[in-house]
Amino acid sequence: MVNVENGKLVTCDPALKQFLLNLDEKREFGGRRFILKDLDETHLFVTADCDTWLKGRLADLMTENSFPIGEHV
Amino acid sequence: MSVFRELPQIAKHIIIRILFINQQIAKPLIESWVADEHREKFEVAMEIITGLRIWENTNDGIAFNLNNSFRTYLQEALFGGGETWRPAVETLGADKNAKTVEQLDTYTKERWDQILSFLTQEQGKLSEEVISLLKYAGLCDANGEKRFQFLLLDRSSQVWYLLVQYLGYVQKLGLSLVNVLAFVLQLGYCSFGTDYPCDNSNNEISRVIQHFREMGLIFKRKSKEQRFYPTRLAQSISIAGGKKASSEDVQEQFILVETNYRIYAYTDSELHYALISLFAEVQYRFPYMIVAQMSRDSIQQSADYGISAEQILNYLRSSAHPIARKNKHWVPQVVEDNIHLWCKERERLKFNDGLLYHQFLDQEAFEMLKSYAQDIRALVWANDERRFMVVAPWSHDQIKSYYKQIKDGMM
Repeated sequence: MVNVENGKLVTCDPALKQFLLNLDEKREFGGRRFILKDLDETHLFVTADCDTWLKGRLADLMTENSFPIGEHV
Repeated sequence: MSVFRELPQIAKHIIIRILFINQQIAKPLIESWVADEHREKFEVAMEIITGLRIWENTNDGIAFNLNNSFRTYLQEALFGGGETWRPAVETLGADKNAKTVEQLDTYTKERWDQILSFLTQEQGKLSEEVISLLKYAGLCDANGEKRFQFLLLDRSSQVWYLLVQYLGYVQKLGLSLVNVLAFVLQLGYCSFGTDYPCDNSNNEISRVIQHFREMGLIFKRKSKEQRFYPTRLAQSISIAGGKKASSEDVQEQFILVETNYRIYAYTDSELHYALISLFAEVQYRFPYMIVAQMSRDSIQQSADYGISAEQILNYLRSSAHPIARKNKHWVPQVVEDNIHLWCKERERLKFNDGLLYHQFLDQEAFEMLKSYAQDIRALVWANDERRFMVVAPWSHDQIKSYYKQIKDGMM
């Protein structure tokens, strides 16, 4: 028997994976889980419809954590 | 010739050896050229050559005869031959209005800048036909992604891009692709600074020449003139690989980048102003000088247009000011790194469409399916230990029927 699931393979670094797991845990994606399978350190299998949303969340995260440099006063 | 290029090493070797022997070659003789331990590779090469009908079997496969037209073309390709262009001096005498190399360069630059400034500000003296070429090439599209990428390419890549599009465009105009392509290739191998005669009665080619005049690939004093000069741009067609040497003498050097991500550009051209403001925020603008600031926001904004870090850096490097060129890094290292990092931020997540197969009962079934998926180039990712594999969506039906087959076989 083999199980088949439709979705998207996500490749990312381990740190980012934890971030995604956390989002999943908190049901931030429309109140439901989006991770179908935790594959390994750097790979996840997710539902096909969450990629744009995830990219947006990542951009927000990066903006929060960045400090403008060389900005003039 | 291109067939020959793609052959395996041994096959090339064999063909070169028999290229100039105009009679049958016995198989044992060819076999004797190859040492026994490489027999396997040799057999493959023999098979390929036979399969491509490069030679014909005679006497029941013990002797070979090279295909006649293949022989003639390859000989011609290797040693020249066929018709070539002779400099105009030989037929028309010296040009009274001969152009120097510098004059040609200035002309080229003027023409090419016309095109670029048309793309940035939608103004510039271009004929209807060239404008419609640019439209055809997708460089005037509203979203601008292609256009921005094009603008940041170095000069010879730009020429190439436009030429490739041009070849598609001439078909739309109803010109013969073969003739135009032959002309373009010939043009690439002309020597720079020499004038060549042209046949104005040939309607097709003179139309092409007219287009190339506008793009600065060809200089022709008047449209009725009997001769033309290929410019440096035209030459860059044939030396696409070694682009650095040819493009730099045409491009100006005016940009200084400081380690605080500030750009000083000594230029008053609208074109460069438009280019720089693609990926940096212009702060001050003086006559002959622009001060601009790069930041995470401005770089990411340009990434939205589809401009990559490498493209920005290429532009900054290729127009680096002579003073900046004295340093080891023409663009400060920290700036380079950060532009890369800023662009990479968005690439931390990579998505691949796929189907996940899991819960395999035994390792054997997993291995079989995996190697099958690999064979049909459908495997996206696999983990052997936990028996996960992800395949491309298009392959699902194929793999399913294969799985059924082996399952039935096992029963």
